[in-house]
Amino acid sequence: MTTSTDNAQKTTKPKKAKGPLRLEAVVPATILTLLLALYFVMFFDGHMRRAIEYGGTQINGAEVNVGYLRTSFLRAELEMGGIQITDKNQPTRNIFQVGKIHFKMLWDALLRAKVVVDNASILDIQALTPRKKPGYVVPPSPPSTGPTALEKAQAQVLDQTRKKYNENFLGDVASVLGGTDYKEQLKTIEGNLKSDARIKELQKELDEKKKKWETRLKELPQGPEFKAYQDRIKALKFDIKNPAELARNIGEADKIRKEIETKVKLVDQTSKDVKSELNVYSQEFKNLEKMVQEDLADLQKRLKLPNVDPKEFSQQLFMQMIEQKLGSLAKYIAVARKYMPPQKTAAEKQAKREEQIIPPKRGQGVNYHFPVTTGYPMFWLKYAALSSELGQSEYSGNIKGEIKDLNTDPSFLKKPTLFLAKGDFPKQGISGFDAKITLDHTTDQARDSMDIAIAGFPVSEQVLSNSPDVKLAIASAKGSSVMNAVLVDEALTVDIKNNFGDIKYDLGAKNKMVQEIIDAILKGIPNVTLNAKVTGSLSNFNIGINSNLGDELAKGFQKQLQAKIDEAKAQLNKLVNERIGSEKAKLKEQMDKTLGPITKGLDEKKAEADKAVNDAKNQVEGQKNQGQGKQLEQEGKKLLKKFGIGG
Amino acid sequence: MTLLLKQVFAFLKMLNSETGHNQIAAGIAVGFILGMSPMLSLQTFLVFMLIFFFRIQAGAAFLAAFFFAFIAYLLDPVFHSIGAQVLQSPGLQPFFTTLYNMPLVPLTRFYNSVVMGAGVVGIVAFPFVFFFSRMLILKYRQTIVARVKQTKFWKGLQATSLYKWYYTYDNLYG
Repeated sequence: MTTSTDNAQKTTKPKKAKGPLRLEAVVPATILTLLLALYFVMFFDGHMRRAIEYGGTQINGAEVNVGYLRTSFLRAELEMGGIQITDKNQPTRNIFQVGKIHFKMLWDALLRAKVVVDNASILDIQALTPRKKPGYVVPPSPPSTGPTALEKAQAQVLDQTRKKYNENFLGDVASVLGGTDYKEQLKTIEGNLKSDARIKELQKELDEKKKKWETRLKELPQGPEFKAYQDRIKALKFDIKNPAELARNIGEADKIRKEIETKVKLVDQTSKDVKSELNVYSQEFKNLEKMVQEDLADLQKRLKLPNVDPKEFSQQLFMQMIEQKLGSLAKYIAVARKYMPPQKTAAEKQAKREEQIIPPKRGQGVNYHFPVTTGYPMFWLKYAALSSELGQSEYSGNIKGEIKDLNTDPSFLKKPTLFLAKGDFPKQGISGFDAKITLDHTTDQARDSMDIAIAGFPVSEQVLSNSPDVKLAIASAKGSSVMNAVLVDEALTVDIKNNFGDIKYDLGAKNKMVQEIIDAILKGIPNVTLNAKVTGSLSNFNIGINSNLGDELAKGFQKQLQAKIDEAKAQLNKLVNERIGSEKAKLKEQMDKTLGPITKGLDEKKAEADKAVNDAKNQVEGQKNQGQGKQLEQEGKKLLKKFGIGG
Repeated sequence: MTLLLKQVFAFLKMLNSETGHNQIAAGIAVGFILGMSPMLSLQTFLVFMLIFFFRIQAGAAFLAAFFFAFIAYLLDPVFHSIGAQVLQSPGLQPFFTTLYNMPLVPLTRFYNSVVMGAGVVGIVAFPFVFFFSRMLILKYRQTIVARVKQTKFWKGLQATSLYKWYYTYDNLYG
């Protein structure tokens, strides 16, 4: 008997045996691959161009445009052109414009998830070109919780330069020459002098210490105590005939010796301690004079009394110009050290080793590392040629340069990064531009150097002094500049040499005499030099600025200004003396009255202690002479030896 | 998830049929390698490609991978010790150095002791797992499936209209 199911099974055609390949999967896979390829051919370039524009705009803070972008998957190439970077402070122009950028990457590196640009070219660079329409400026982001790393780097420089810089320097000079009445100003200066407060502190300290020293002096052994020791020694009998008594008396003599030694040590120690404190106090009193000088300097600053020193003139006039350069330098260094970190220090390497010693979690295993023979840093621009030729555009220039070995892991690659650029922008008056920047972060000790020279460039308005009394600015000039900067680890050396010619000044002074003096000086110097030397570290540097303009101004103002300043300084001295003179003299008198008797008391105690020791020695010696026989002599010698006086 | 469940049901159906024992055995053997390998690695991707392009039973592979992953977790210390010995073997150092410096290959994390140990065990045991699971499948069909088919319950079930409907549906769309 057969069922209907059996019949159905019999009528069903036997399925054809399928091969090992899943052919039905090949078709969708092929379609997917073709779609992907189509996307890369038709849309990828456009999407990437927009992504670069968006990212660039966010980073730059103003619109970035990319005219075209082409990629080649097989050749691992990227080419883009018509790049415009909007100036966020002036959106109607571009900071610079690049005609064409071409990158040729290595597939070998891409397969390792690294980007190595074997060869690149950046062509047709133009600066400060006008835009067809104003670029979009990204709205400022809400205030962050703290300054960014770049802001911190710049602030570090400004913190120091601002301490040495007075924007109103020439205004202060004019004010002094105008005959300011300092008596009135001094009356309005509030707050105590530092030295005044210190005198009061020293006074209080002296009262407290006096009590303490007197107490310690009283605690020292008094005359009768030493007399008692002498009496006890006198009572001792060294009778050879009575050995038991002799032994007892020798023991007693030893005991007295130890007691005297303890007392002598106490006197010595107290004398040493108290005298040391007396010396410290005397020194602090001497330091008071230094503090008075500081108070005078502080008052001079508060009264805005200028210093008739050529260096001071140069510093105050040009500090702003130099601080801009230093601020930029600090920012570039911060960026370079962040993205191109130098080799780890010994301490960091040790910490890393210790971290590796910690056993890994179960299941994670241990990673074994083999020698890297063909590794790459995360990013490495091996070589890029920069080139631009003078064209029709008003903003084009002749520029040739190269970038070598820009990479994210210099310690691994062992190759320093080099930027070289030479050229000029004749239409903009910039000539003889020559820059060489080396960033060597290949070892533990990072070394960055920057040598930049510009033979000629137009100088736009540079304000040297801006105050209601005097305004002095370089309205226009033709400048040349050489800057050499070296930073080894934290040690910074910057040498800047500038020269300005064809200068047109913008001068305005309320005081006629000041106007005449400055005007005469400016007419006498057709060329202004400005040299600056910075040494130290970015967090703590010394800056020396000198300029013939500063020298001449100082010289010009010398006669009139010095007399006024001396007069003001005399007034200040008088004020300080009136304020603290009597207090200081009182303290001095009190100090002499206290310190003298204490020192005398200590010396007396020391003398008493020394005398007690000598008396004890003499008494034992006397006993020895009275004693009989050799044995006693020997015992006496032993005893003297214990006192430290025997021979 | 639906796709995964579909594969698991297909595995159960094929297991109880009379064909495809090689596909199931290959699925279990490949699942063994999947279970032994770290989840995110190049070799996992390669195994998935094999499952996709070759007629390997995916449901069996996933179930086996799930099962062997637990065993692999318990065997990690053994894998670590085997892997460490292989990686430290002086004769293999030039070979590993070459691999370490090749593109893509480091993405397999072969330089990790557990990955290397699990990989070595997986490759060495692969043929044994294949033939052993094939033998078990055939044995299962000869003993358990054949016996179930002889039961009155199974014969009664085959006589129902629901079974007939399912049988026809499976032939048409299954």
